[in-house]
Amino acid sequence: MSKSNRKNGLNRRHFLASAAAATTAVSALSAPTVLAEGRPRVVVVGGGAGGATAARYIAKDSEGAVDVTLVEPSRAYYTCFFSNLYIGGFREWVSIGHSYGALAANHGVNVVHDWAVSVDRDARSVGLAGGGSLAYDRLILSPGIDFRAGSVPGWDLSQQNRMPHAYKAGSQTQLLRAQIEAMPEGGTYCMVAPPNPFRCPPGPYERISMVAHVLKQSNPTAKIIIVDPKEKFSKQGLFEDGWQRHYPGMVERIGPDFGGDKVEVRPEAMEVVVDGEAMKVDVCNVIPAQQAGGIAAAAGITNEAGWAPIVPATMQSRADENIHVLGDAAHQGDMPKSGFSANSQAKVCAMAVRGALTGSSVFPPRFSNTCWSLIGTDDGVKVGASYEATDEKIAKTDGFISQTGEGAELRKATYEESLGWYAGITADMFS
Amino acid sequence: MAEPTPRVKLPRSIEAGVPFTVKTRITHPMHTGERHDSEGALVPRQIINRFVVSYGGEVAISVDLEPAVSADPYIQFQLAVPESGQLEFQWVDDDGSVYSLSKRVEVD
Repeated sequence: MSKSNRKNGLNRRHFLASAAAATTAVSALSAPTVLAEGRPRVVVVGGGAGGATAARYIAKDSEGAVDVTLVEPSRAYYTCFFSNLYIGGFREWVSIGHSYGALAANHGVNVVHDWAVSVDRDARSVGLAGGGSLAYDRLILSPGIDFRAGSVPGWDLSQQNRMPHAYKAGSQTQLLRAQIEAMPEGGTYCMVAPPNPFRCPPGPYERISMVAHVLKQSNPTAKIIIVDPKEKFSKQGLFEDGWQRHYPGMVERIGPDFGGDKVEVRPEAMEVVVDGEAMKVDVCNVIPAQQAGGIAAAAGITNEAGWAPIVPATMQSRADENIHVLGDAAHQGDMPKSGFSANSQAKVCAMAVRGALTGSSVFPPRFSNTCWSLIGTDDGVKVGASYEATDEKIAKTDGFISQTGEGAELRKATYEESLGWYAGITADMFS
Repeated sequence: MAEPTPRVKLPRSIEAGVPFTVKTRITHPMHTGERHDSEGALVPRQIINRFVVSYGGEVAISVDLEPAVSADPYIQFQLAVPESGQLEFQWVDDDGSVYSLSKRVEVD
């Protein structure tokens, strides 16, 4: 993985690049040169909104010219987006689960159910927990997030059954919903919210809305407390307005002005300690501080904050041009860490990778994102923007956000728009 | 409705005779009596109408609140105390409930 070894070693990509620069006539022939040595190999790590989309687009659009392998430990993928709606009772569990079968059957993607645990950047190969390895010409890392150890004193992964994070969709999401349903009458649900930056900026607050929706029906004297280290949060005005309209008096947020930035938890006692004062709670949803999924650090491409800096136009790592990073794990600029963003970045990346490996056309990148949130029944809101690639970062060009006081018809239409988006993006990832 | 939760935040260190900031908040919907629920029925007025803080049995600050005050009323004020003692906070609800909190003040 050291850079000096890479410089001294044989590097076919550098050779091709200099050959192409020497004469334009040669550049058109460089792609067949690669093909003559066998199909170029792309390995994608992580089968979420970034990785599944990238694998599907490269395999589909290259029509077999690129060999695509997707490494993903889960056999069934449950989307983090819309998992709050499951907690709120608006979605069935099975409706947010997806299979990788169509990627293999329809597009020839080689789906490997294993954990990627190491990257040898000199040999260009990925090591798997199961013992095998996969060679690549281009590696796409889309590993999502991991939690920063020690960010909430008293909490670690060994406590996630007592105090679930439910911030990677799956059994944790089901556990949290079961705990909310089992709360005693008039009990307390507490969320320890994460510091910036983190996956899905409105996510914790949509979750609060969904928990309130459930409790209002089943346990109306219950309380919801958010312990939050941040001064402000995404769509704050819209959420706070909605909480007062739908769930008056139920939700309390303890921000840094009341010590929300000084929190520890005691899972055995089910206590949350805010600025030295212990509170007894019945459910504690700890969403810790976050960083790029572990494989990004293992590849040696992360910065001090734990995220992987990228070149906006291609999503290539700034540390290694043979590696691309997508979605939550990428340090890219203005886009929020969302499934929509990862899907948008994946299409830009897929085009760049095909262009590099097969000589296909590459167009100027365009990115977009929308984050919908459900506050109550048929009360949907959204925030979104368009983005462009500058040398420095993915930069916001224009945006929009729902307003307080919008009519019920518009809010319902916004929610229905999100249902259409969910059907669309999951088809874009898995069909 | 969930029981209102009062909170108070004091500085970590307080000096005798030197003003310090006291931050207070109580969760409360502050129903104005002018709003309608989703079925169109008028929601009866229910607000916190009075907030009183005393120190050593003496009233330090007393506030009358009106229906225009927003939900979860937040009240911040400056206080100077001559010596260590007990700060008592009381929020009075339209329904007659009184929510209280007590905080020990130790001067350095």
